[in-house]
Amino acid sequence: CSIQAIRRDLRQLAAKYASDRKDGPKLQALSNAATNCASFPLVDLQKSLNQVAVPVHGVYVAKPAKPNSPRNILIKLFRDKDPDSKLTKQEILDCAANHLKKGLNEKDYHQVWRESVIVFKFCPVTA
Amino acid sequence: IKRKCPSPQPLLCTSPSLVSPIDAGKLGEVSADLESSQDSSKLYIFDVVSGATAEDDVELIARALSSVAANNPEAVC
Repeated sequence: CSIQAIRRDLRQLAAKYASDRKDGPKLQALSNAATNCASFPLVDLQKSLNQVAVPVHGVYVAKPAKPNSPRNILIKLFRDKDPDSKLTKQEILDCAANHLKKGLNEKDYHQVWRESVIVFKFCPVTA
Repeated sequence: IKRKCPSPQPLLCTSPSLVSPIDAGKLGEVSADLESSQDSSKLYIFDVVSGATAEDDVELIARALSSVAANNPEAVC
């Protein structure tokens, strides 16, 4: 499940930070933080994850840095759709036109398309 | 006269089981400078507008959560 995968990655990240000797104190702090997060109870970890990710139909999606990011289009569309439904290009463009100032050009659209595939590499939210 | 039929619109699937994953490693890596960022929670957050390449989002989330926890322990449970 997603929580297990995130815990696993947190532990791996902690080990990676701990093994880096270049910037000891800072990376040690990150390592400790990752270790602590990995050991959070389920409810607490989910609460903490809400700060950096959004659950969408059983997968976690990292929040974009910018509020007008095309990733927000995907998040909205996926949330509005049933889990097994499909989205058309026109639906994506229409949603972008409504929620982004400039809509999506072809380049941005293809990035959204590619990202949607990457997004679904996530593990489900629940076991 | 032979008429060319328009190709159907591409579809996106919201179900993970219906999508073939791309190897995120082939898309390159996102590097971040801890020193330069004013907001550590954004260090590892992906944004397609910026043109950054993608990496596995699970790892992205793990990195972002670690940064938030390291810089603001009260913000996480």
